[in-house]
Amino acid sequence: MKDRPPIGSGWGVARRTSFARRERNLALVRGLAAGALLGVGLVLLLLARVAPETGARLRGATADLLSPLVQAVVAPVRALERVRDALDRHIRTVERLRAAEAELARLRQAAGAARIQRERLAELEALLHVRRAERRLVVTAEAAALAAHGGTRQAVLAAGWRDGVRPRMPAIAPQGLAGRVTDVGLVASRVLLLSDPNSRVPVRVERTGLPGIAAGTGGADLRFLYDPVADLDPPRVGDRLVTSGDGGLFPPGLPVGVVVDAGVHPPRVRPFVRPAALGVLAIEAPWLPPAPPLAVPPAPDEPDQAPPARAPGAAGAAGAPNPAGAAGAAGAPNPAGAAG
Amino acid sequence: MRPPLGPAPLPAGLVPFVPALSVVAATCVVALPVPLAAGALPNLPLAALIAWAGLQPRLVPPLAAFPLGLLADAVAGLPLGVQALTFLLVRLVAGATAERAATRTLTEEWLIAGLLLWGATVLEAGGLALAGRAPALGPLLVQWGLSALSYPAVFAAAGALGRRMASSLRT
Repeated sequence: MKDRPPIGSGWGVARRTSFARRERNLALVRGLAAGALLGVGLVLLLLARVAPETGARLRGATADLLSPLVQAVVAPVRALERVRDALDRHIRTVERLRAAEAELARLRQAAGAARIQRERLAELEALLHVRRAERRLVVTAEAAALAAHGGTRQAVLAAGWRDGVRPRMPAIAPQGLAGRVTDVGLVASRVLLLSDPNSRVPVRVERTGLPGIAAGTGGADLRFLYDPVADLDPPRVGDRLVTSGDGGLFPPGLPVGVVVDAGVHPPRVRPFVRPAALGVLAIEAPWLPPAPPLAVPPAPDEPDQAPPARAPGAAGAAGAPNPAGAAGAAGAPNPAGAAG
Repeated sequence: MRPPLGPAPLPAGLVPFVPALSVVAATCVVALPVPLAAGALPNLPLAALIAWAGLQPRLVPPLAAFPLGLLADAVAGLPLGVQALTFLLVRLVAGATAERAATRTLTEEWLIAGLLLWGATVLEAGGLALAGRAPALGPLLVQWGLSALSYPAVFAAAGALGRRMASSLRT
């Protein structure tokens, strides 16, 4: 009796085995699925490297979804800021009035000089038949910077494809350049701000004209990348950087930032537009329209370059296009012959 | 009849999705505008994922981590795949560590989460570089520090949600 297995033990063993096998199979399937997802992730990353616009539609769609949330969060903050500004204006009215009067007198003088310069410039441009590209406003909309993730600095704009916004369009704040549009949704868009580590803007120093690149760092400041041997007059603290117009995307002369630390290389630049206080942004079309595709004329018919078929025994005949023979006839250095 | 003490129970049908929904909510919260000059916020969705991997691993399986990461990529405006890969790998490692040690003290939990978050930071920087983006190492390190510091709060919040889920199922 003791040697007999208990009643139902056979069933139990079979069930345990089948359960274990099922678990093992499930674990295998899960492992395979995880491996496949890892592969998909790697492919997505490589795809983003070769085609950066991959996923732009999905990111634009999330901007559509995020935009109302962002506006709802920003609304009370903006209301508080307005109250604070109103109180500040009220308290400092006399002081501000005196400062404004002094500024007005100074600006009137500067405006007179600028008017003369502008008229002279217009005359010279008319003589030279200079054609200037015009800036084209697309839309003006409220924007709010998103929280930074791993250094990315972006903003959501409350205008999208429906309003004429397209990728690469410059976003301009009243204080200066804010960034450029990257992903466009139907009613909202994403703006890559100047301080994003992937932002590069061609600029020049307003005082000297020294060209360079304003590069984002992910922090509050930018870096001014320039060739130190290109100019003997390096940037100084307080120098203003403005867009140079190189590349044709940003119109020239837009304020970008001011040099705050020239003792390091590259110098640190504080952008005029703070991500925390974006407000309303103007979206413009790229300053220079993309160049039209060049019409390539059809290639002319070329004579056959292949050597003509030669009859046996005609090698080296006069006038035959035989480079080897010509070289030999011209007395080209022939090591073998010289040696012989 | 007096109402029962404590928070209202969650709908029973919603309970299995609470962990994933909390990760989605954390993704949206960290995207909202916060005036910070440092340029970094804690990676709350990843911290929540690590916490749930210890508390309710079956409700946030590794296969769910990938789409959650994909959503985080889209919301943060990153190249698709950066956070998706990071979330998946971190969830796989978190699951493996949770299986090895069934019970952990809060300090051990915090230490392991800090190490996982550090690994995630390295993975994220690598993913950004692979996608052709410039990783900002300074803000990434700040983000890691903030994420590690905020982990106990995230873990406590996930634990509270987990208790509420359990009480909802009991009722």
